[in-house]
Amino acid sequence: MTQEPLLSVKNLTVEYVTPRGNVRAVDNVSFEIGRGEVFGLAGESGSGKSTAAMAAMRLLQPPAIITGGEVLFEGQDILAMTDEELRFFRWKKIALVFQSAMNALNPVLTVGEQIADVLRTHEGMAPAPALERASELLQLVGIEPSRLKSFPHQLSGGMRQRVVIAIALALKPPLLFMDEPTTALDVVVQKEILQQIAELKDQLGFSILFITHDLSLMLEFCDKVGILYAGRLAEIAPAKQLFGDPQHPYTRGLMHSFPELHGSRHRMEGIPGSPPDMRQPPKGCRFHPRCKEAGPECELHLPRLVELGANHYGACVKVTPSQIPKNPQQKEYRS
Amino acid sequence: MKFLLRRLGFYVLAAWVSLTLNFFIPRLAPGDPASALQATFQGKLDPAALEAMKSAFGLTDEPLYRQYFKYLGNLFQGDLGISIAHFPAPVTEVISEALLWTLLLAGVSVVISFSVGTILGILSAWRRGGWLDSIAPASFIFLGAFPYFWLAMLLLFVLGFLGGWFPLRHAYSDTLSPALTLEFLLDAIHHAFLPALSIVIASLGGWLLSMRNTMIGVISEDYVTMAQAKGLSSRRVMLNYAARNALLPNITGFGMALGFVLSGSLLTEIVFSYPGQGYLLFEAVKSMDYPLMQGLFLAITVAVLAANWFVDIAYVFLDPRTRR
Repeated sequence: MTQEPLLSVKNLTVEYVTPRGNVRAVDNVSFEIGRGEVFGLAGESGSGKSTAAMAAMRLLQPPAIITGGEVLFEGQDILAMTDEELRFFRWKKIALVFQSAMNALNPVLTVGEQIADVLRTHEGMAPAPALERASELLQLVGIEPSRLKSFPHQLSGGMRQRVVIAIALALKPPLLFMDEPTTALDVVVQKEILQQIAELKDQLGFSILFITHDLSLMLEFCDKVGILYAGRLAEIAPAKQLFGDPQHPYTRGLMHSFPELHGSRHRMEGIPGSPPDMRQPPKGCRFHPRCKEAGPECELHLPRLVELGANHYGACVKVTPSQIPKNPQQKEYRS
Repeated sequence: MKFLLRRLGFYVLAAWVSLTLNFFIPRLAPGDPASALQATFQGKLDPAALEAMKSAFGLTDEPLYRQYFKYLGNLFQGDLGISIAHFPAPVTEVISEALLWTLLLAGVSVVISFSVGTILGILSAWRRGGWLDSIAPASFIFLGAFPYFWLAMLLLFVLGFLGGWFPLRHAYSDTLSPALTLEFLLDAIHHAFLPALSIVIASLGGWLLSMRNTMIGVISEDYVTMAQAKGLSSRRVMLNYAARNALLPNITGFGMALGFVLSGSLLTEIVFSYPGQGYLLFEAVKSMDYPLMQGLFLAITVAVLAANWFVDIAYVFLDPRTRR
């Protein structure tokens, strides 16, 4: 396991420049994605999960700017690439599946053209062979090749999302960023598409950065999960570990906010309050104003991520490695 | 295709409605050409001659509906009547001469203004906040904000009168007669240059700004971000992904502008003494020249409808969502 990670994000910081001063949307976020691994990034709306992913591909539009950190892909810093290097790097090494397939496809170009232009740009293919490959790619995601000549508006939401995935796979990239790839779809189609992604992953062996606010999806789909709150990582752990034994009060709050289909019935609690105004984040731990377990010490310092167990990190002053109870039933957090 | 035919049907209907209005509205207005005619000759005309002239112009005391059907019938034979002010020239002849100059001047200026404005708009939006974006929109809006006739007169005064680089009036030199020779064409272009420049300067800012603003909206669409993520060349992202979509609303505006070309640019034609449609219409209204007015309105109506149909056709090519 000493193998170099595929993608390693180190202390990534993104700020939005506003007339009233800079707003930190992503604050010192670090994580690693290994080969063949699915890393999930979860958090509420506005927690910075999409911003972090877009920053890693250098796709942020002003006023968002990257103010610090490194994004190493196979040891090469994406943030230090020249524009030309970046252009050939993009899609070849990391492809992106957008949040809403409705808007991710150009309405005035056919599906075929939108797949083919990647092949033509990166592989220098001639128009005819590029279309040939495009039809193979459509078949790969379960769409009839006759749809090559269709325009996006002629396809259903699920088909559009498949097309977007086909475009993402065009160059067989080792890493895919998926930003809520199924949020806009109904549950049945959602399931089908995720199944397909999982199959394709086994077949092609790519890694995934999976962004969602849906924790149940995460558990099903991801190997490792990072929980973002107000631009900072609250907790990061292997998926099973995180869901079986969440340490950060915020993670626990999130878990109580979703109904369980199986298992015993219990009250959904939710988390009181709303995410902080990022222009004036609270002092100390960003979560303390909403935290049931907060004490006076929480207002003093921003908690750092500390190792709590094997590959399990949390950023809460209340939780230290020594305090991790062996049995989650007997958790005791009074100091 | 079916869509285009249906639209065509709609325009035929619209044309008929406007022809009908075109017939009735002048006749509902106070004053009539017969008394205007009588007044011109101040009673020095003997009644028989007056009757003869009236019938030549188609001025009868017949009921309106019979006049209306006669009007429609004549129209289909391309007979728009005889101009009263330009007697005895037929209206078609009077209009067709002015039409040529209007098409040349206003048509070409609108096309140039639209193309250049759109291209500058695309580039400004693409490098938002860059040097072009800081200079072009502001300066063209500044120029466009001047009262048009003042701008036109300034151009005429500085470049025409003081500089002497351009002729001061008319569509071609008095020494030449219209012919398809290189000499005549160059002369006509030389004459049209200043008026065209004034139109382009005054209208370019609008095209630029509307294209820039739509383009900025489109640039923040996911499909443009995705095109960038795909590592496509900046040129392809700008043209095929952003501009191609941002162009659609502007095409509508362009069609409208083309349609109104035929109504001429009255101020331009007055300042530069250019023999176009606008000036003709102005004269026709002043002299109560009903046949000519009707003919001009007809030409304008047909032009607006044709331009709309052209926009429909363009849309079918540019926007697959309108194809059925």
